[in-house]
Amino acid sequence: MSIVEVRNISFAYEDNHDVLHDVSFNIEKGSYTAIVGHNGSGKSTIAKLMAGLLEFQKGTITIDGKLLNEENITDIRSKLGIVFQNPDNQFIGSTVRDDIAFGLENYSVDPSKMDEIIDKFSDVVGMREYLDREPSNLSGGQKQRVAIAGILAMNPEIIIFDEATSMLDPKGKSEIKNVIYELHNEKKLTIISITHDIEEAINSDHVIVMNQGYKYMDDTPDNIFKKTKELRKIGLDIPFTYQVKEALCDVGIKVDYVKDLKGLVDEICQ
Amino acid sequence: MNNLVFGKYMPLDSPIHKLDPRAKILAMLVMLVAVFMPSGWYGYLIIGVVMILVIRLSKLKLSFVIKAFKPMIFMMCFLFIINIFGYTEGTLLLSVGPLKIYWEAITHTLYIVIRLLLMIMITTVLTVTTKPLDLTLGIEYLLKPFKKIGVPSHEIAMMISIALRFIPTIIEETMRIMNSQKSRGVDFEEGKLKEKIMAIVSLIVPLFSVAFQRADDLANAMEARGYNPSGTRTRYKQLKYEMRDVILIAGAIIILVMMIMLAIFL
Repeated sequence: MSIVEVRNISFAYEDNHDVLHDVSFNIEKGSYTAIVGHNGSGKSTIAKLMAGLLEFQKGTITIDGKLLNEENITDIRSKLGIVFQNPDNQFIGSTVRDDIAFGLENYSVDPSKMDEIIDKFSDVVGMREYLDREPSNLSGGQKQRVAIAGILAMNPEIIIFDEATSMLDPKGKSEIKNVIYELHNEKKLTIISITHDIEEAINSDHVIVMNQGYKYMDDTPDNIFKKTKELRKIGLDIPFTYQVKEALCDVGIKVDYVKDLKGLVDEICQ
Repeated sequence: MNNLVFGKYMPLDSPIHKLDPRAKILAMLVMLVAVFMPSGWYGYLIIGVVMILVIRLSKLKLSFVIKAFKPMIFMMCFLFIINIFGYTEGTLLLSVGPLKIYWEAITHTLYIVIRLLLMIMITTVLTVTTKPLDLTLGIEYLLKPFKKIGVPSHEIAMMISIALRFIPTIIEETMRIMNSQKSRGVDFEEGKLKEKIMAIVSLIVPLFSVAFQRADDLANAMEARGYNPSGTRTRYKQLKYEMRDVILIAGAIIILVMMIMLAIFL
């Protein structure tokens, strides 16, 4: 079942300069989708369109069976959360506690129930001890985890990560990635990850490659990374394990496992 | 930088800190009106003693409050000079050449200065004992009745709290831009006035452009999380009046009444 259906979307910030051209794709419920592409390929714009933050000129977006329009927008926003790139610019409350409460306030949750919800979701992202901290005393990774907790508190179906790890240090990056995998595997949430990180895309269920506002490829990661020629043509990196596979293939050695480096090494050593 | 922020919140554990922000704001307003009553020396003495007691209760050091007076010294001198020239009759105190200083000039200056000092004491106690966010929440609640005549109480409170939230972020940003401009050879400390202005421009322009970027991101993040300023929202922090808040407001009103009586009968 598709939870997100994007049909023939075109979008321009200014007249006659399209940022997206006739883009269509489906995203399955409970899947992990990676949207990859260069800067300016239109991948972040897609995220903003799905959350109704920008108005598109042509096409339709359906989220969980509901057509995205003025009327349904509040409903849809409660089903879909976005974690943005800059950890500072999405921290609205003055403390972790207040920030998680912000979304709850917007959906008129009974204040007496908020503490319970805040405790529960700060625990999920491992920020429970930091509830009374101010954002200036938190690391980037911690702020991103708070942003995730704030979104989880609203009980969404879909979480979009719009380059959520690109401003973090390696430690923060791996922390956030672990949280994302946990949400996908244990909470069965639909994850859409907009990313530069091609390695992250290997472990997804579905990869959409964007190029200059057009959908370039839309397939399983294995099928996409096999097409090294097409990816090189638009200047995208090939994941390291696929590069090894390709090089070995050229000299007549065939390997299958390419999901991670360790598995690949094991297979070669067999 | 923090020392410059006058009346900054101090996290202490005192009965004054525990009071409801609305009660504190209301009491402050009543006290400010009381200070403006022409109640004479006795009146100011009463308010002064009461305020010193309140400061003791809030566990603040008196010297901390007195520090807040320092910027007033210049103003006092200025007022005094104005008053010397302003009073041309009354009890003559001193005569230096053509300049005559009257007793009234001094008393009048003192009146104004004492009033200002009392006002500073009152407002300092409020801001030092109340978290900025509680203060905004208090303002929001107090402005609620005026919503009918078009006062956007919630929006005002949201703007203040976001501004407060971003002060440390912007200060950090300023430092970063300054350092990166310094590394490119901009000199913020020395040089002629014109050079200094150019240095400041090299700071202000990127600072503004980044601030607008932040504002844009923030608006997106707020909207994505379902924020609608004109819609109904609940508030996580609930305010509740308690006995001590009633006592505070009653106390402030009693002092106001005393000041009015003194002003009429003395």
